[in-house]
Amino acid sequence: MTRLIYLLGLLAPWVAASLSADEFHEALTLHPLPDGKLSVLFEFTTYFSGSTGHGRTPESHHSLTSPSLLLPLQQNNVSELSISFVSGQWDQHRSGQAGPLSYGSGGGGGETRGWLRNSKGASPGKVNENWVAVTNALGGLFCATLAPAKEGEVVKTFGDIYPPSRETKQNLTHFHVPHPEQLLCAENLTPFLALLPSKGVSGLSHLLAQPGVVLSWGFKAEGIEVIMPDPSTATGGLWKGWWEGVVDLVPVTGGSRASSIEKLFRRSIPRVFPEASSSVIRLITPEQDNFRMEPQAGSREEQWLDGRKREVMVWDLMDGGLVGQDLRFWWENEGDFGHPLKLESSPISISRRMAAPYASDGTFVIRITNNGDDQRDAVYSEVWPWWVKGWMSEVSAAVESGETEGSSSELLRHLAYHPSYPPHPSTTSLHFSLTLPAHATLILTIPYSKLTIKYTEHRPDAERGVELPSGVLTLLDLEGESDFPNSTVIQSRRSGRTHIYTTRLLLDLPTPDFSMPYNVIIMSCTVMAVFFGMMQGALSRQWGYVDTAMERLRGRGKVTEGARRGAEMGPEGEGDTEKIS
Amino acid sequence: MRFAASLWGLALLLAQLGLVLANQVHQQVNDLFGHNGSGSATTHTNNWAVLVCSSRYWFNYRHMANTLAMYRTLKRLGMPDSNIILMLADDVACSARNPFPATVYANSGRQMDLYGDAVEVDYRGYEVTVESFLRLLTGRHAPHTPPSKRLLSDASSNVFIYMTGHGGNEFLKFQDNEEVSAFDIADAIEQMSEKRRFNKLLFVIDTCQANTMYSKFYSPNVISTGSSAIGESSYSHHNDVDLGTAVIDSYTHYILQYLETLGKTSRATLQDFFNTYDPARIHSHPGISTELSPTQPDGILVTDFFGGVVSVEVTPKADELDPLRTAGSAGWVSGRRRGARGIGEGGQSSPSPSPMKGPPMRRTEGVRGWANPTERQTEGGWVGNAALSAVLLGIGGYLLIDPRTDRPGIKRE
Repeated sequence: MTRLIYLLGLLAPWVAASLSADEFHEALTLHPLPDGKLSVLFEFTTYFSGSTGHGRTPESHHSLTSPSLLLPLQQNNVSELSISFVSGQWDQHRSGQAGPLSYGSGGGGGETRGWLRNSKGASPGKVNENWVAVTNALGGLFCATLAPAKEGEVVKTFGDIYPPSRETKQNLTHFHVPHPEQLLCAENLTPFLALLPSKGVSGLSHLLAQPGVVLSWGFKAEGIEVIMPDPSTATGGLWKGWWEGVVDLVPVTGGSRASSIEKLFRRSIPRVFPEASSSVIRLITPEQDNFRMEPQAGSREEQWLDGRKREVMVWDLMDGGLVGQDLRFWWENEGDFGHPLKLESSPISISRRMAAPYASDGTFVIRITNNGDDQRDAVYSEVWPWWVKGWMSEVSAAVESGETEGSSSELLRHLAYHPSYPPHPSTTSLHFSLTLPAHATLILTIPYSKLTIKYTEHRPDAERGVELPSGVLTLLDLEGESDFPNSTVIQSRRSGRTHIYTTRLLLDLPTPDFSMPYNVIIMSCTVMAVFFGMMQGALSRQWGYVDTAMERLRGRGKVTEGARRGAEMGPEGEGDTEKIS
Repeated sequence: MRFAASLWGLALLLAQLGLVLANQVHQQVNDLFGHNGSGSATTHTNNWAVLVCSSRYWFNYRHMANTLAMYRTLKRLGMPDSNIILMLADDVACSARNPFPATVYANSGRQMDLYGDAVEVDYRGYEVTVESFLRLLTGRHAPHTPPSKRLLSDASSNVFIYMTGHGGNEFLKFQDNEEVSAFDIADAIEQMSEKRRFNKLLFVIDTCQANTMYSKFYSPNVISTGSSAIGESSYSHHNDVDLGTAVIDSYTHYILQYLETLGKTSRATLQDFFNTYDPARIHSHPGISTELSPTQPDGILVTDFFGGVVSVEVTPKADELDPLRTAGSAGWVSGRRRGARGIGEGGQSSPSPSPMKGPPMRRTEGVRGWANPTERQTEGGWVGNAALSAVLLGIGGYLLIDPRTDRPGIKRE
């Protein structure tokens, strides 16, 4: 009996641990877009407990989470961290959506941001060092550059734009490093799959583990978001990975948009990952009556998506009925797909262009269109490298069209300007607090100059230009996307999308002729050689008559005379003669 | 008391039996792994490779393909990804001009995708610079450089360096704006040699006037080979019409054609490899330099460099420390590539020869490294002693120690 109790005592922590066991959820969301394309989103969410054991030494137990992801975060006091890679452009106008379904995806290139805990008693520089360490570690993990090249490239003013996703009593610092030059390729997908508990061999990740297929899509986004367990509030951790792509459903030669899982992935619906707590395929049905799918969905939900109430079909894969099957969808009686003449636009859309681009300066023109019925509050933020110098006194905000007219001061309520300190590697960050009138386009213009950078600071492909990180519009008045039956809230605010991104911008810098330094070196060497040669000559030479051999030949008598005189003069005279010659 | 005496008798009998059995097993294991028949005078216990494509832009597709074909060959011959440092100056696989996204082919029929499903590019794009290459070789990194970007080789590593790009007399162009000179590489290799970062080194380069690139080497145990003599160009082999560019260089094409015939257990030597050089087919005169190596190429297996076939040093069981105790300090977790990648490496600017990064097979060396070598006796004796003491300890433990008592000082990861 005592042995049994002893055994139970041994098992108790294990039972407790298994009760708070890690959970893994996976979902595949298909979203047909009005322009004949399909947005495909994989989401893998893992909940993990913050148990670090009760022994004297710190322990960490990992069942579904990868230590290679969590250990560097743990070691560097990370509270939250998000990495995003985006390749390709999201067409806000044609898709009718302000951005991809994965709200965590940035605007373009790579991006890392996170909240780090300030450890008590540590020096203020410690948290910065932790950030460099964790971004380097994850950069190595994801086969990409995520760390700042210089410490000045870290942006710390985005804390209000990306607030911590949960309440905490801890003292946190926000870090943000944009890497707009990064792209998304197979080497970034490999580690992503390796981090998943299903490793791309079973469950929905099996569909994703085909770089040749998923990387041939137009728009691609990959990212992770990790929220570490909070010891102060005893909450568990969560990490979510997503992969989104946009496929063109219309064949190159024209035709209908009919498609299926097998057509998209060349694979049927795989077996469910045994450790998964949920595994679903969702389809956001288009707002057309002739849309059909087979087999029929197990359940349906309603969701507000960018200000529109949408119907979502859900197939639960856990019951195993769909394994090895296909899921087809099509538009009844659709012959050749014709591109719609009129497209419903998203409530808010944004674009950034460059006007009057000269070698030395130009103007950023940011157009923010509010298609909703209501005035909106938002913050528009930009990050520039140090060599972009904005003319802050010349910034203007104006309404292009619509009934509402407002003065610049009403539209642009406040501007937070954090300048860089050239010529050191540093960043300028700007936050414009804007009022977006209903049914109007706000135009924000920011003139700028490009400072000269050293020829060693140019990129290897300097003529291509340098990407600027995408601008981000943060909406301050969103109402969320879950449905309330009797809500009377204005539609355009019903969305979960807090951030809307512009595309990144390629800025060309005046590039020197890189052979010039060599020309200059050669020229200055020549000048120096001539100068020093002349100085040397002037200092060491002496002008005078030379008694040459010809003269000796001309008059032998004179020669003997000269020789005699030379002998009389002695060795000093001889020396003089030699110097001259 | 009689009972105890008989137990002792039994223990001694068991110990004898254990001794005999352990000796036999040890002999077998030694025969199997100890000297895997390699003709090399000195043995190595791990392989490392640095593959460098120093050219940028789509029209240099063939340089990326050269490097990736080497990468694929190394992986095929058993080298783990953690021991291959792959540097690609551009990303042709996901270039907008690539009609076959996320793939790189080295033949016109596009038979084999070199990019594959699990490629790991350690340095890509702007990261590929002369500075990062020389830092990689010499092991002088910024403090937080992740392990995946470090060449963690040691004195028993065979290191293979492959470079391709556009070069000239004693230089190789990196990206489009800088060059590494033959002197720089020679000095870097000398530093590697001084820091005992390799046992043997094979340097292969495919570029114009490639043989000039190793002409300045002066460190021992280096074998070098290049694609073309001074004054000669190295040419591409053929084009692919759909890609619209040359897919592979001639020299690399022919050496790969040869390497493709080798398997993990191949007995071919470097001399066999060099014998396949045919200047008429390659359209240039490949060079071979063996003067710095005391072992001639016919004494070195190709798989000593291309692949993860290593001779495992068999150490007796008793030499191993208790894994539970050793794990806390160095971490078994970091033995695996992915595990090692993410872990912040602190301020290790010049990491000690780390046995932790590599195939799990090398675990034993790691443990041996920590054991005190002066305490080692003849191996068979150790096993016998170990078996004897194990049996005695077991019996003693059973008689004396309460098995429920936790052992003190045990750390788990």
